[in-house]
Amino acid sequence: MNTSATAWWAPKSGNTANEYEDAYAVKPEALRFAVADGASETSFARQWAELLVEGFVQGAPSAAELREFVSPLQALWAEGQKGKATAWYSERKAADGAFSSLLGVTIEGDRWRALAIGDSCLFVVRSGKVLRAFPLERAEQFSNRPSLLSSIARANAGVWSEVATVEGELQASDRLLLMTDALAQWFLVEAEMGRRPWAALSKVTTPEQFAAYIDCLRAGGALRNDDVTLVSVEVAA
Amino acid sequence: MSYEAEISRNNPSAFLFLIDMSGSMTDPYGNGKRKADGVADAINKLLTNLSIKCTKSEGVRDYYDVGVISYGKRVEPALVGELAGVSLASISSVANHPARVEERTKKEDDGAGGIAEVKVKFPIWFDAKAAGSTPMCEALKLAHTTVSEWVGRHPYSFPPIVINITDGEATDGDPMSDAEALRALSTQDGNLLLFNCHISGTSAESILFADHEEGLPDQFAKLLFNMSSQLPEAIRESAAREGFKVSEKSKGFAFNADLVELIRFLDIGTRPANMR
Repeated sequence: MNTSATAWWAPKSGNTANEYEDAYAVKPEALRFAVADGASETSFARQWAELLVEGFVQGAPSAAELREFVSPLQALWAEGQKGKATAWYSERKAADGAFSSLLGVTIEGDRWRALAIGDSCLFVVRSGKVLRAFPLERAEQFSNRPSLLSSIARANAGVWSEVATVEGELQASDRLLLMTDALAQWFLVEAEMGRRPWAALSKVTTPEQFAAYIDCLRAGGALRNDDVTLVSVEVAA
Repeated sequence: MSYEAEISRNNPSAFLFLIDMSGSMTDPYGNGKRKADGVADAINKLLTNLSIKCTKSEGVRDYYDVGVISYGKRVEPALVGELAGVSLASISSVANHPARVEERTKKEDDGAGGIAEVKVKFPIWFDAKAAGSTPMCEALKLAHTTVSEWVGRHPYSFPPIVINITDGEATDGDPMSDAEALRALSTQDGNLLLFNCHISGTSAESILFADHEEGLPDQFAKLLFNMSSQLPEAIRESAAREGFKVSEKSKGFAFNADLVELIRFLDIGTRPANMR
């Protein structure tokens, strides 16, 4: 299948681009895509989110392999913030670990597979309909206390049983949309009201247009103020 | 709708603690500790937790202004060290200026079925010093002066939260009207929230977020309950999610309860379910 992928992102309003704590990775030649959302109440969260998405598109672990996959990334994260946490509060915060969601999608032949922890979501759009919403299916399922992957091994004890997986068949002209939670929640609300949120997103062709569209949704109160990330994968007709 | 303002660096919120340091606070409670020492410990833990909560990779973000006023022999700002005399300080300057940092050992699950002893830095901003009477009315008045200036400068912020910690007996009159005046302060997002923590020498069961005064052990507890603000919906929901029993009438009132619990419910953004 011929596919093309684009990625868009915007920091939470009031934050700088440096303070953006989502991450995404796209490896089109391997047909692997991932988004992650570093939890804002943890520190060094962006670094953790980046390790997870980069790791995913390199290795494409299955749900069963995830625990082993995460372990070297945890070591890299610890290495990365070594020496940076010198004040007492940075030291304490770093000891709590960073947390992040992870949504990874791979395409093989005419099938797609997805794996998720937390509330970053995949939507499969076909013929003007949301064919599949994963792992959350309804807007009301979003809470601000999702289970997330931690950079500290002991915090992940209860997480492995919550890894969600799904797969499906891919057809010409299908669209796979990977989003972090705020945008995903907006998307589901719109879809539940019978609107076509993917149509507006597909018109975006520049980062400026994406930023302007996000600003407009936030100003109208339709989009919660949070970091926003979208990876859009289109299958050729 | 009220109490929905996002807490951000542009629109920070504020915590002001009023601490009873009267002579009666030298009495022991529950575990045999002096009440004053228990409260000092709790305040230091609260300031520690707030600092950590606001810590990001690059340092502490100023989501809050924080102050401590003690009342006893005198009514005055009570932080020690570099922040002495400051009535409200940004959380980053609080984090960066503890009076001293002690080291304590803590037992922790090592993730492999064992228990590990880890050394933790424990900063101190506030020392127990109990003497004199209980001028609670005066403390509420000083809180009013401090916070009314703050709300003037932060009209769009989540309203300030004032937490009064006492063993109950005001010696300078009925604090009800001062409490009402304080609760009348507001930002566009709602009225100031006044929470009261009653620390009693009795071994009565601890209560958090009480919703009626019947069953409260004494007249001081009842008075403090009636001085307290009702919990806003967002805090109530957050407390319910954590398994606390709350109703629409629940107030920010705690009796012999862990003070640290009180501020766990004030969110800034996403908190993972598996983070402790």
